[in-house]
Order: sequence, then C-alpha cells, then structure tokens
Amino acid sequence: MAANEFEKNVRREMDEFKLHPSGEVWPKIEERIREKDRKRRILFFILFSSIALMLAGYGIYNFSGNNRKSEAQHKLSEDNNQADKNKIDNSKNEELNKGTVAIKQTIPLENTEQANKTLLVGKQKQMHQPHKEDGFLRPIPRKDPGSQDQITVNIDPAEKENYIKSDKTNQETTNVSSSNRQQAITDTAQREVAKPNDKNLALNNTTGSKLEEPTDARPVQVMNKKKEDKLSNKITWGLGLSAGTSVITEDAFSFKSSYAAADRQYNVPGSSQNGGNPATGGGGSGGPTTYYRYAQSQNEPAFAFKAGIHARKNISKRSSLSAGLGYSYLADKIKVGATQGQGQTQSAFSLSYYSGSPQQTFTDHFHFLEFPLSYNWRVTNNADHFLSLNAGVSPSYLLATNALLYDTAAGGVYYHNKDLITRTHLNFISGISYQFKNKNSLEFSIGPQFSFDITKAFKSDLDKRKYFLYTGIGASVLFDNKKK
Amino acid sequence: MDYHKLVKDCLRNKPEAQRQLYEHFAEIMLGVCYRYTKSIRDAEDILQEGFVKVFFNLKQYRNDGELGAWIRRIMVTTALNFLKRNRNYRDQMYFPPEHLHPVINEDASAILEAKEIAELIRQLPPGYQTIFNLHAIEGYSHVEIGELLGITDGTSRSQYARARSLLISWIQNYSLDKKKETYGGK
Repeated sequence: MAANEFEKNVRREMDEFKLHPSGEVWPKIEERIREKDRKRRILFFILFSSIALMLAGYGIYNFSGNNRKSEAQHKLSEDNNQADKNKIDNSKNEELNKGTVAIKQTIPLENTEQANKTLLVGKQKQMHQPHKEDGFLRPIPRKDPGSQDQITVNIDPAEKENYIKSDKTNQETTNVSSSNRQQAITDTAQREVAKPNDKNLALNNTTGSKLEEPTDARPVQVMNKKKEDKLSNKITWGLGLSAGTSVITEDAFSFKSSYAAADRQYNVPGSSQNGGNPATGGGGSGGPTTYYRYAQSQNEPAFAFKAGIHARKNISKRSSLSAGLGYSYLADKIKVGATQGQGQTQSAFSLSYYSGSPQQTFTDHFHFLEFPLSYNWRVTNNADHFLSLNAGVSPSYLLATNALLYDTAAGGVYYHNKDLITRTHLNFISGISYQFKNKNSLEFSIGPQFSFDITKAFKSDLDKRKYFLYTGIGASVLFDNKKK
Repeated sequence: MDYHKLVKDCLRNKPEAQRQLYEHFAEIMLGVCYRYTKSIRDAEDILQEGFVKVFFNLKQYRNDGELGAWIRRIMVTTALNFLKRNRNYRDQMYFPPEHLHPVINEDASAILEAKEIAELIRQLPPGYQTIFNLHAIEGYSHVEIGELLGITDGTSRSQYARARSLLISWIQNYSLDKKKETYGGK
C-alpha cells in the first residue's frame, strides 16, 4: 500500500510540475511550422506548373500535328495545281491520243504488300480489287463494260516507298502521300501512254475518251478546312490594365499578410533606460528596468494597379507567348505611431522615423517598372471566345517608394531607409482570362491575375514583411488587324 | 478552453490559435521534458521538437481523448528519441542485469514539493531516470517500457526497483536536511 502511495504522491506532484519556457522556444517552433507551409506551397506551385506545362506540351504536340497537316496540305495544294498544269500541258498529247486519263487509287494505303495501282481510263471511276493469286488489280464486273477503259499499272515496291511519306499515322499526311503517288502515277501514266511498250504498264484497253476531273474531292475539302485553321504568326499588340490589392506577405507564395505579434516586455538588469512604452514609467537608477517593445503591426492590403503594353505571338494553335512593358503601383498599409523627428540615435534612421505604437495608418507606396513575359494556353476549343491560362515571370525594378521599415531598436520604430529596400525583383505571374473577339478585329480579355514576388522586399530581417503579393482583375485589348 | 475549436483553428494554420495552444500547454510539457533530461536547454529542445510534431500531426488527433494527454505522449516519445539520439545520454543509458533490491516503503515524498522531487529524479542515472519516469509518473507497464527501450520487462522491473530505492533514500535525506533547516538543527 505504502509502495503505491509513493508513486501516487510522486505522480500527483509531477502532474502539477510546471516550468516556464524561455522566449526562444516559440519563435523556433513557429519558424519550423512556417517553413513546412512554405515548402508545401512551393511544392504545390511546382506541381501546378508541371501540370500546366504538361497541358501546354499536349497542346503544342497536337498543334505540331496540325501544323504538319497544314504544310502537307499546302504541298497537296501545290501538287494539285501542278497536276492541273500537267493536265493542261498534256491535253494536246491526250487530244492526239484521243484518250482521257483519270486516275483512281483503289488500294488501301495501309496495305504495304499491295503495290499495284489501277489507272482508270474513261468517264466513270470503277472499283477494283486485288486478284487473289498474283496481287494484280482486277476490275469489278461492270454493267456497261464498253463505257470505260482502264490501265493497270504495276509499281515496284521500292519505287512506291519513294512516294510514301514517313508519317503513316497521320491520315492527312497519308492523303498527301496518296496525292504524290497519284501525281506520280499520273505522270507515269502520261509517259506510258506515249510509251505503251513498258513492261510495268498493262494496257487493257486504250480506247480514247475525254479527260475527266479527279472524282475524289476529299483532299480539297480538307485543304480548305486547314486553311481556315492556319496559324497566324503575326505579332499582335495590346494594352492592359489591372486593378486590385497588394500586400507584403511573410512567406513566399502565400496569400496571408504578416500577422501582429504581441508586444513584449524585457527586464534589463542594471539598466537605467526605459523602453518605448510610456506606460512603464521612468527608468530606474541602476536597478532592473522593464523594457517594453512595440511589436511590428499587422499589415493590410491596399489598392494597387498595373498598366502596360504587350505583344503577343502565337506559337501554336492554342498557345502564345506575351511580352510587355508595364508600370506597377503596389502598396501596403501598416500602423505606426507619432513622428519622432530626425533620427539621431541610429545610423540607419536616415530620415524621420515613427514610433511603433499603432496609432495611425501609413501606406507604403511602391512604383515599379516591370517586364512581364508569360505563356498563354487556350483551354477551350472555340477560337472566338475562350478561357486562357497564363503563367510566367516578370522582372521588375523599383522606381520609387516611401516605405517604412520596422526595427526593434528603441522600443520598436518605423523608419525610412531606401538602401534597405530591394530594387530588383522577380515575380511569378499567373492568371485566368476569358477572351473574346468583336467584329472590328479587337480581342478583349478579362480575368483574375496573381503576382507572387520571390525577392525579399527589404534587406532587413527585423521587418517581418518579405514578399509582395498582388491580386487583381485584369483587362486587356489586343489589336488584331488580321485581314479576313 | 474550447479545445475542439482551438484544434480546428490550428488545423487551419491560424497563427494565433497555434500560439494559444503552445502557451496553454508549454509549461506543463516543459515539466515533463525536464524530468527526462539533465539540463533545461535539452528539455527546451525536446519541447520544441515535440510541439513541432504536435502541429504537424494535429490532424491525427481525435477529439474523443484529452488533448493534454495526447500532447504529453508525444512529448514523452520525443524525449525518449532524444535520449537515444544524444550521445551524452545514450552512453549512460545502459541497463545491467540487477537483482531486485529491497524496497523502502517509508513515504517521504509527501513533504517535498514538486520541484524538489523533479530535481531528485533528474539526479538519477539516465537509465533509472527514464524507467522511473515512464513507470511511476507516466504509468507505462514494464512490458511497454521494455518495448520502448528495447530491454526485457524483467530488466525494467529491476531497474525501476533500484531507481525507486535510490530516490526514496535521497528524498529521506533531503527531507531530513530540510527539517534541520526549518527547525534550526533541532
């Protein structure tokens, strides 16, 4: 029983045992918590950027396919034009031969083993199918066998390879290959009409008839469609204006302003000085003196805006790059005390300084010149009105400021010192915008914008405020003088 | 204090709530950490590490238990890890096999204050000190202590008995000295 009593007594005493931790513990804990938050935000930013890049890559990849299509389609157009010219140039010979040649490819292009081509000669096209034994094409029996003449051409597979483009997966490119082959066959056929003795040419019937237009109009339709989607490589100029709020946050990529810490008391043994708090009374005469320090006040967001010009260049069907030059006004509100006059006690106080006592609102103004560079990606398909994601960087240079810095000296004060304010900054910018065009070739966009500064605003660590954050609604107009 | 709301605000990363939680439990938890160490600096290091764990793992706390007890367990675990990691403690944390020693049942602890008992506990060798703290104050069984420290429960029992007997003798001596001081040596 007594044994248990001992443990009970010790446990009871220890449960009530308390020790007051030193003031250094909490700031260290807080720093580590914030550090983790910061890492989490950076991780989130990297993740977000990666996803954006992947989406952008997907868009570019898709566009590249379209671009190849456009090029291929352009080639197709040229080939068709050339074919037309050839038809005209050869019309005399054909008239002489009194034969009209129309060419129709009847074999699936994927069938690489099938190298036979059929030249249709006559007014109507005719379906053919490969013969089971020799692979040569044989005409399907027609109702009116006398109305059409045909030539079957056996092309060497190696020669065929020269005609076929490498991109077999692209259907449109395949069409071009088809066209090339078609043209090649046309030329060959035209040559072979003059030389009917060639071993590759099996002439079934050489009865003359009029030259007929190619009956497969599909490539031309595709070409017209692709012409519409053709990428505009012009640089488009625009004006932008954005209004919102700015604040200097304690952490990078954070939306929170710095929070107010509690004012603190310090007992300074043997000090005869009194701190910044008049409430503590006069200083002692050699004994311990209570030293009171005003903590830095919590800052608040203030009105801010940005304006500038920018140029945009499409780099793919859905994405574009923008670069510009702009003016940026950022601000930050703090609470300060009364003006203390010219600083004499601290060399850093090159100008008048303010007590840390939170009595009046002071607005720090910052005027920046910035050079935003951003990547824009069109989310939706419609090219006339769509959503766009924007991300990029914006180097900026501080032109002027009236900012006050906090210092723990003399019971907590605010003071001016431009030497401790960072002039060159780098911001990450991002935003979402809704864009639409009007009939006058003007393109408008509007949407939220964010700018995260990754450069510390002040070179002094005593001031908790570190990174500029700007949030606002931006609107811009682009002068698209594209001729329609 | 509404712990439920406090935890909720802490989970929302509200600095005021985090500070409030720390200030509410810091003193009692420093008392816990203090008993496991030989210096207040080490105790504060454990306190700091422990509170960082508390904030990082607060989402795992379920409101069905007492928040103080949950934080206290984290502090004890952190203290044990600190002792294992820190060479000054680790080298002295040996547990030689000992036979059970006779237990002195006389209870002198009642006349000592918490601070004095804590100081005497801290004067125990680190091995004894840890086992005594875990069993007598935190309420861990010898089997649990064996698992925590990687020793057998028998070793834990014998170490505890030795620690207890040492502590009681010290408390008796200390209380005698205190009486002499109080009554002027009479």
